[in-house]
Amino acid sequence: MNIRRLLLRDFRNYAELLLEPAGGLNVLVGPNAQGKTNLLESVLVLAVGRSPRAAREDELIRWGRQAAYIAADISRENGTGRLETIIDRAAPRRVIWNGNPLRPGQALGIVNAVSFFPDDLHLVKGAPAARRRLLDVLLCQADAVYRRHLSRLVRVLRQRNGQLKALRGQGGGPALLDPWDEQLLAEGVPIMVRRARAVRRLGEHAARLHARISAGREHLQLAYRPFFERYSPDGPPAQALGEGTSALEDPGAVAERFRAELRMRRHEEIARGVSLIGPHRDDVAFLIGGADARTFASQGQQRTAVLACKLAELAYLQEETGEGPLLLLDDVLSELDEERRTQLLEVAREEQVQAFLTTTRVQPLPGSLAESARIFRVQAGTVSGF
Amino acid sequence: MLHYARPIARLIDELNKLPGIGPKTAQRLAYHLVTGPKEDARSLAEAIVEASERTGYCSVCCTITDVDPCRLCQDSSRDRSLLCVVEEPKDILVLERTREYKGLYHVLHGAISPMDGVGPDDLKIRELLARLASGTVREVILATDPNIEGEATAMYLARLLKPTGVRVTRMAHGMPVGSDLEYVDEVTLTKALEGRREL
Repeated sequence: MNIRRLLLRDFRNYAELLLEPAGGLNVLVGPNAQGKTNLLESVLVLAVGRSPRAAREDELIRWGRQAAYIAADISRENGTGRLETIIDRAAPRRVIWNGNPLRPGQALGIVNAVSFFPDDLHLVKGAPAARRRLLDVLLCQADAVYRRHLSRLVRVLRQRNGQLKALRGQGGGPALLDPWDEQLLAEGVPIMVRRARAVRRLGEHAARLHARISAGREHLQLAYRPFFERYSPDGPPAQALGEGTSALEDPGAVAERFRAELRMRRHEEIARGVSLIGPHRDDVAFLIGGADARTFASQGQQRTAVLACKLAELAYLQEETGEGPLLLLDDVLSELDEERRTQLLEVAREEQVQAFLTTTRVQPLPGSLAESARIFRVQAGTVSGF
Repeated sequence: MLHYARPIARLIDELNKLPGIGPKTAQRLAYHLVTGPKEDARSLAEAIVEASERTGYCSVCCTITDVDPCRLCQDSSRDRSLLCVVEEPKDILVLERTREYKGLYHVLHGAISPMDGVGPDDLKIRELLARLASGTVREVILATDPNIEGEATAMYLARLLKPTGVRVTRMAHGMPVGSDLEYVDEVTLTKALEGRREL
């Protein structure tokens, strides 16, 4: 899929913008603080409904304006269409697909995107929340059932936390908690099974791409760490793959472990007044040469692992949806050495995806790429072709 | 800042307290009422007062009624061994439209929602247990909404009622009749698959 035309109005520092990108690589060049990243952000907001860097939606609206507008003419395998988003200071976000209003959740999956922002370089060693978010963003784009379960899970957790807090405060029978345990299971198990499967498939792609980038010197594995393995009293399990993996994809087996965990930690949960168990405590481990990269990986190893993971996301979405997603690369070229840079751009070209890349100076591109790339100069909220 | 005449400001304030009425709608309604025929406004005011003063909870099923017990509870043609538990009085009207259900109802007036501070004690559950004590009811149909709070309420009630020996059933999840498969959401479809029946 690709964007034929992108239209912005009062989005961040753009008063009005019309961009007609190329089907392949688009390079956005300009000094800092001119609006390069804002452009990528607008595409991401349109595609996945969230920005990786805005804490509140109204940050996206241009200073002193009431509403921001993003629209894109999309060309996909099964036809073309126009996707629009309106972010208003006084109203919930609206999404329109071919003139028909959609609930924001329904808009996911119309345009798929994989983004690589400088913050992603902390993926391997950073907090688990970022790794869960990666899985959620990926699965929400590929799997409508996952989307539904996830939005219900958020609500179940809020209610369950409310109940736990009330039980801690006033006491009361466990009968009050039982219905929320059941619902946590009902939403949690399908989420976990899907995460386990996605990590396995993502891991296969990541391993292949990692071997290529590292020229076969190192072996990367991704391992899904469900909350009950992360928190098992005797530390992380010795074997992360093999028979354990298939058990994690079996809803019956997962539900059983989940139930046992609910029983075991009920008193602790009531004492703390908050949900300590559930998929909101899951994690993904990066293993390099069989060892957990969180503890030992060098900067360079982390970068290669993250790069492989991002490219694996691309391959995964392509496989799941039958269509190449958009690739959004924010200032990552400067973070990568020349070899990795070339590998990244090569894979993007091979996968024939539309890519948007920001950079402060034009990097020498491999010859084959330079021909097909379109270069845009970004300055103070205006964009001009070269 | 715009200044309303004091009676209008008060009216807007009162309208604004109603569910689903924001300040703009409240303002529009207020001006509509004061610029329209006087008898319309009076008639509306009287209707509100009358509805509020002449209705109350049915002492049997807890719906809102002007006679006690309500007409449904008094109706001798209804099957007294069947009891359908719903969240709101309006749910009774919906089920009655089917003309298929011949049993009685019980209105909970809400669903369990800890984050809003609504627990079982805030619902008409004690009244439900009292009704079941007589032993006339053989089956309780839990028809709370199929959302998270409604499901939790149904599960809570199912466990609570189990020891009484009464049969407890839950409304099925399924495909909307007359719709196309492709427009049914994924979770409904999954539930419908789980609840499939042999033909």
